[in-house]
Amino acid sequence: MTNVDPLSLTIVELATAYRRRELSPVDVTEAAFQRIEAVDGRLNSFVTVTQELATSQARIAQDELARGVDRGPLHGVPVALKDLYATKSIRTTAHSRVLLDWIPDEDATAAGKLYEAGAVMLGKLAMHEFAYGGPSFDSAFPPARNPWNPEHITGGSSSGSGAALAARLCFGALGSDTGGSIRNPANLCGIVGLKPTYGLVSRHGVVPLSWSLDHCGPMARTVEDCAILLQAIAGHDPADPASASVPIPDYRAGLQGSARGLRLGVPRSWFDEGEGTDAEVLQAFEEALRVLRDAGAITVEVDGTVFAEARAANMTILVAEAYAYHEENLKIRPQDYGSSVLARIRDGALLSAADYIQAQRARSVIVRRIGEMFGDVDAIVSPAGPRVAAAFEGYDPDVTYKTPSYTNVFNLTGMPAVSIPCGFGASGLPIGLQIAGRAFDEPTVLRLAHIYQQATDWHTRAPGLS
Amino acid sequence: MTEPTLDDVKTAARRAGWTLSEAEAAKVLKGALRGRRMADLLRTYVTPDTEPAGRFVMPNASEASAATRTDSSRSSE
Repeated sequence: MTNVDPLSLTIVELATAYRRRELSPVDVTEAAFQRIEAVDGRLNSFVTVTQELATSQARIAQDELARGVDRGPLHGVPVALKDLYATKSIRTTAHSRVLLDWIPDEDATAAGKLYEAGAVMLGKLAMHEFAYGGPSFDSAFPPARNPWNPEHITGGSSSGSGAALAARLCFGALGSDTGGSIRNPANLCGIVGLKPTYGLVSRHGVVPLSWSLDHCGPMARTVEDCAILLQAIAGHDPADPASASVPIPDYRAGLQGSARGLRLGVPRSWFDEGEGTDAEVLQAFEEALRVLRDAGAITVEVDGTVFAEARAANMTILVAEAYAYHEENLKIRPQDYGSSVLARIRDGALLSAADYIQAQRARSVIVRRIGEMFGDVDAIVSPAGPRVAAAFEGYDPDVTYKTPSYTNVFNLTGMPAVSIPCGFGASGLPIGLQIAGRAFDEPTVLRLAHIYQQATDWHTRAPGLS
Repeated sequence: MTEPTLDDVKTAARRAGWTLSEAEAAKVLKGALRGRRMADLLRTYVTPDTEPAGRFVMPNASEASAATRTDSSRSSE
């Protein structure tokens, strides 16, 4: 272990090293801050670092582990939070001047659960303002940059979470996902991001974008690490009206097992929507299918029509609910919003009540049709995005409307979906694979993703930052 | 439905309490046009009997229903 960079380890490996006394939480936390200091000036992934809190938590974790008090695999592990999770006594901005002075007096439920699991909080991560808009240069903080090439975007809205994990600045992070905001940065930064089933992880204390589409979830460098994070944060919370009261399985144990006989639906006709999906992405996707077939899975064609139809319902609901949340501030302090998010949220004022209701009606049709599809398949697989990360220069904020949006359909249905790395494009930027499953069937989604990672090494590659 | 115009945007802005420059109004119109097209598309997915997914459900309806059943069984004893 002496020759290994501790920040390159996974959560699983770090937990093992702690228990063998090869590494200590205090030393690893200090190393993380040194790396943040060294490289984050180029990446802007953190908007707030909490060194004093982290050092204190690391000391406590170190002392507890030495005394045999073991809170599990996150004990002493440095993590960070997208800056829309409320953190007691720590500024929480949602990357906006609107909330620049907000210091919450309680933790978001998911943040509190990470603390209970013994995690060490390094700080708050950059995001797209209010989890909407795109990479913006006129919000409260500069946009996060992609560690694989800082001239390129990270995807969002959990942009800092994707960048910090890829850059080995933290071991795990929490993001939020309303139309793909966990899976997009996971895809474009070459890490793992899981949008769990709607209601599985509490959103209490998380700044909302769209109440009926918002999901909180884990991001990490491996599927197994995501399973560990999910275990810590999943569970019923009466403080979140949408929280589900369901049994929580052992997600890490669920990774074991075979893919043999699992049926994977492939909605290929979806991939050509609009300007379509880049050839290098499709090539990586087909190769990923081959790996899963070699592991025993069976691929079957499914109709892609319903997936393409989901975007209109998702966007209408999202914009209408976001406008409702921001209505008052748009009136009294529009100057405190960045131009990108301001324009997008204002769109909601032009939608009618009937538009919103029609979107919810369409949603029920789409949920039913995709639910029926899951009678014949165990998972739906697709690329996680149509292209590798775009450059900041010349970035087209409307590109998302011109190409297939692989992620937002599963916000509409509430079903779990994960993005995992499955290759690199010619430019050296990551490509991702999305696996989605039935509601509350995270075990199958994670198992398939884990089996894929066991057979490939894309997730072990690191960007050349020094 | 008819597509929104710049005048519609300005009317909506007044109603919402915004002060928009011409450039901002044009930007909102671009999004509004896209939103309109999506909202129109949605209407092709539903049939008259499609209920909204976000329908209202009485809180604790299942418990109330269970209690009613218990009361009925008692009265029939």
